Amino acid sequence: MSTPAQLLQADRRRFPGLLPRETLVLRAWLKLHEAEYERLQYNVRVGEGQDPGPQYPSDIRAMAVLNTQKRIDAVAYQPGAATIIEVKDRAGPSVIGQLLVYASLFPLAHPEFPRPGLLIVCNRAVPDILPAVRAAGIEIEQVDVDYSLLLS
Amino acid sequence: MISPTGIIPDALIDPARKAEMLDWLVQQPMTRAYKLQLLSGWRIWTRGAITSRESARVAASGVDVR
Repeated sequence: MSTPAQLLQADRRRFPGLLPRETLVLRAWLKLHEAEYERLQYNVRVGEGQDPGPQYPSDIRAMAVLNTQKRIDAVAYQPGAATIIEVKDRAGPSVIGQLLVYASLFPLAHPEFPRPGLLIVCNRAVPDILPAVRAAGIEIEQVDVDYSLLLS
Repeated sequence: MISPTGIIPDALIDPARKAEMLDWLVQQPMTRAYKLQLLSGWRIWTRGAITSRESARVAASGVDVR
């Protein structure tokens, strides 16, 4: 039996921030929506990360900072606009917090986009999050996904 | 949960290299919770089994564990 890492090797490297089921969710969404955007970036690091301190060698310290930065699943660009995308198999309450944090961090690195759009791409969502999603100005798009590949 | 891809070295995203992955993870200056999330992500990608003893070893190596 192959592992998900083997089955989805190319996609795993293209979308490093995603787990196997999320990878299939994003693939399904891209089939429907990729052409609507000028370009997409994946695994976009934002924030400062966590510096473990001067007791560590500088290379280890730099890698630790890089490895603990927040990673945005995808950013989709249209002329003059950026949309931060968080991908979930099943979207729950935590996705709202993630997107709100990213919305604050992303403009620090990209001041040309002071108010990025926020989008949840998922297969399913916990219904009770929807009022909070709307109140936060977050869009949500649910896609049908064939997960059978992961059964091989 | 955090995907380990791009954080744990790619060659170690392999169930046959679990021991090396565990050694690598133990050596990293990361918090306990972050390491355990990476470990869960590795398990999902590789379908590798992690024992409670291995998980405890990783947890104990967190920089926030005293």
